[in-house]
Amino acid sequence: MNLQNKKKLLITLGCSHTEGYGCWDETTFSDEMKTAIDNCDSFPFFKKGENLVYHTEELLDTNRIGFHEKGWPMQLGKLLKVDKVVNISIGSSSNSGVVKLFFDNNLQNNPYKDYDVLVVWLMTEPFRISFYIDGKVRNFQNTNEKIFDSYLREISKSASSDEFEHGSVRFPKKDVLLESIFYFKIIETVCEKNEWRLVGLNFDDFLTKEFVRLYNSKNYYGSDAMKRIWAIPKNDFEYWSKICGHMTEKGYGLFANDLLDTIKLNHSGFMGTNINQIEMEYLGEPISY
Amino acid sequence: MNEKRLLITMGCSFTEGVGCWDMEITPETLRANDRNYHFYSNSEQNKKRFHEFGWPNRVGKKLGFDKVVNIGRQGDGISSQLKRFTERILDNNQYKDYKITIVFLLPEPARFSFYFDNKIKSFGPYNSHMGIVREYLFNLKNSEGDPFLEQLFYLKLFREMCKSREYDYYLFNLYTDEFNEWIINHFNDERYSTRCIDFAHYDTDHLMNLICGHFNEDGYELVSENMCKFMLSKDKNIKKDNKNFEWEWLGDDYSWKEKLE
Repeated sequence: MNLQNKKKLLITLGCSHTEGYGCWDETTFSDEMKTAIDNCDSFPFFKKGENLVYHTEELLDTNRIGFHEKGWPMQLGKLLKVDKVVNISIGSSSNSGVVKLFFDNNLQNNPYKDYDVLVVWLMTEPFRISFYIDGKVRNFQNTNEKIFDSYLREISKSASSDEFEHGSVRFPKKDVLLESIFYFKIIETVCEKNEWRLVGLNFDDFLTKEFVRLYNSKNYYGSDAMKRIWAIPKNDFEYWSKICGHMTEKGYGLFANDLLDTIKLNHSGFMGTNINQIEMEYLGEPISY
Repeated sequence: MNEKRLLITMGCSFTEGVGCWDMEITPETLRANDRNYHFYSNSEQNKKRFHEFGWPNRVGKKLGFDKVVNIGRQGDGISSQLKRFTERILDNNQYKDYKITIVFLLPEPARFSFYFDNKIKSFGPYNSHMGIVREYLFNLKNSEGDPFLEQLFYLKLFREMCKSREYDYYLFNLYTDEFNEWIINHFNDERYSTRCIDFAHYDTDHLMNLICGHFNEDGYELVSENMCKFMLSKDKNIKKDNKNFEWEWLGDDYSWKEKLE
């Protein structure tokens, strides 16, 4: 069967932005949280430390299905008329962590031989790291975590003019990008072997420029698809969540539309015909060994 | 057509060949706990001997490979070796005309790596004075299996890299039965061999050296014999007659700096 006749599958990889974090269902907020939001004088709401008491596992659990249904992966899937979306992403994930989830789910063995597959990886901040801890993948990005703090101290020793800032923290940008590039090459290798199409993306121009300087790949499309959404002010809460600062359903929709243009331009054969409900599989939950 | 055959060898100090000391330049009093150990193991004269007389060239010669490229390096873990493999072999067109076979002698599982100053830097229990290693080991205190999971992940990456390029591969390890059993259960691969030296069946004292606790040349000879036996059991045609043998050690740092300047 040639690719044209096969069913279409979109596999998405990434962090919270790919999980759909930001598509909150306000009816799940407690009265106390609603009052705190009404009284809040600066947004995003969760940026204020004291409001994190409302950021509970229970709140996340009740919103997670909505995140997965309304985020850019499903919106892009609908635009591409695919038959199935497999979303491998989780809030706080690192680039290495998402590759670990990919392999833990044995996607490298191509369980989707009946499909024409497109993988879209919205790569996250390159300084995040991951380890298997207590039998499952854990990601680290916060200096409150000792292991991340010590990593940061170690690699920052080489930061000089070659650095970028994240909050108050400086990172040697080439080192952290080389780490991400290694994992990108792994996914490229698997996609090539499985005859899957791959679209790699990054958040911003700065990272894109450096990434391309270190590794010029035909599968890496930089950050063009994010230009329109970045141009919208962060206080426009139609597009940016006033709760967490991530995109809203509408924001993810804008991004999905711009991503569609990139895909049409570079993978014109990948357009499905499905107008019925898309099958969705979420594989972002770490597997416990 | 007689295609040229390249053997790529991967691993830690046991693959770099540490232990094949040049006794003419090495003080007899040197012991593993001597702080001069690293100075001597990094001396150019010793390094050259390590690279020449370790197991990689012995396996290459016994099986008649045209060339051995050894990227093994002391201190490396599986992740640092895969990064080195990507930089040195996968991204390098120089070897595209060779039929490639890889032998990977797996390093200790609790090692990890990051890029530091544009180079691959390995960390492991051997540098537990460093904050990041201490914190990692602290996190492992309730779950000794976590380094195996890390190892399993990178083994899967390695296998994918080989499959995608149609490289033949063999995997060996020197570590515990517990590790062997775990890997066999979770990484089902007929190209994975249990210990390349069964310590229970040899008087290993005369195979190791007192300076660093690695194998001596007799030890590496036995390792190479056992590896060849296993490789021949999987592919009886792997042995060829070849008189022209060359070798190269590429475990040094790839310079991204130079590439970018």
